[in-house]
Amino acid sequence: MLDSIGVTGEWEARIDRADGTVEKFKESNTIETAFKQKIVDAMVGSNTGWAMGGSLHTNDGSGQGSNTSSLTVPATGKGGIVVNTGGSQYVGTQTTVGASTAITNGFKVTFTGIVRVTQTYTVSAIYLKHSKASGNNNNYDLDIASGSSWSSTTINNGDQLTISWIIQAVKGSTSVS
Amino acid sequence: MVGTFDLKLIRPNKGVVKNVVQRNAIDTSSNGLLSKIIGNFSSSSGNANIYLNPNFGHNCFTSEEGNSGVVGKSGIIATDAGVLGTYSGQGGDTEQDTTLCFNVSQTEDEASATKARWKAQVQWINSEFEATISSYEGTNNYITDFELGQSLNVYLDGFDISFASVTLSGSDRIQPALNDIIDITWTIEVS
Repeated sequence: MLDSIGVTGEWEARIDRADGTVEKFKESNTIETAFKQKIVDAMVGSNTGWAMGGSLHTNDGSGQGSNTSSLTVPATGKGGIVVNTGGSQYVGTQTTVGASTAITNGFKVTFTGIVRVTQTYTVSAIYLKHSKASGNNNNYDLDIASGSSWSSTTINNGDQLTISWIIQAVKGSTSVS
Repeated sequence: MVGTFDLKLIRPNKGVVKNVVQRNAIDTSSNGLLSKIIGNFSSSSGNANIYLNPNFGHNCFTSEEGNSGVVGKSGIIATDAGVLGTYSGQGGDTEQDTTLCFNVSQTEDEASATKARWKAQVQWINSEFEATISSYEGTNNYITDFELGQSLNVYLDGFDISFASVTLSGSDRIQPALNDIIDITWTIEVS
């Protein structure tokens, strides 16, 4: 009698430490209600969307090339995977997004966020957000997902943190493929 | 929380003579709703283009109306519903139209913030169709296949972008009598 669209996510984090050790963490996470509401609005309310391919934060904090040697807040209009490092605003990761791929009963897309730090940061939370609002705040026009069960993690000079975030929409299912 | 395909067959002066509530299959094709939702993430700009605003100008393709009233339009259809009208293809060949377009339709403000809902009706009455239609009660004629989508294709057998579909079977199949109103409420929930 019933059917639905299941929108779900899963984040996976990998820390490549400067001493060569590797740590990995992975958790499923729920999708922000605001994004689900946005999908409904896009179907019945107005022609809207959540395109991010052309507006992702790019600075990885490495000081290499065009990157600054510290993590920075996304510019107005930019988004991607952002992290809470204890400052007044979330800082961005160097975010890329892959093409949509078909999975059983649906489709998925994977965001990848990388930071290569030259100083110590404690990452207490991670988020996937669309389009930073202007001003000194953590407001974005759309919150897509937050990193459920993320444990506060410290990264130091020479460490690289890579976050892979799957967002999928499937017919009537909630497990991540 | 889930969604429903809810069909009522309403008989004037009698009320609801049949009510079918059934699961509907969300489209998982590369041109369907789920593909559009996820695909928009990697787009450099632009909207998801999943706004389904029902706008059929007529309840079937007719030679008089031409194709502007239904082809490329969006909403709810029933395919293989019987001969409803005719249309001419290239070379002057005449084809019969068997697709019922629910041209009295609306989107509905969400019953909840995470449910999209469309409501539609069509009356099974001769004055509404080019061909002469008849009562299906007690016959071997049924209406069973329904689809929700954007942009009816030029073959009139489906949408360019399908959202969901349902096939009724057994006792759920409908056989409208003349003057019956086929009333549909189609809900998709994002959970």
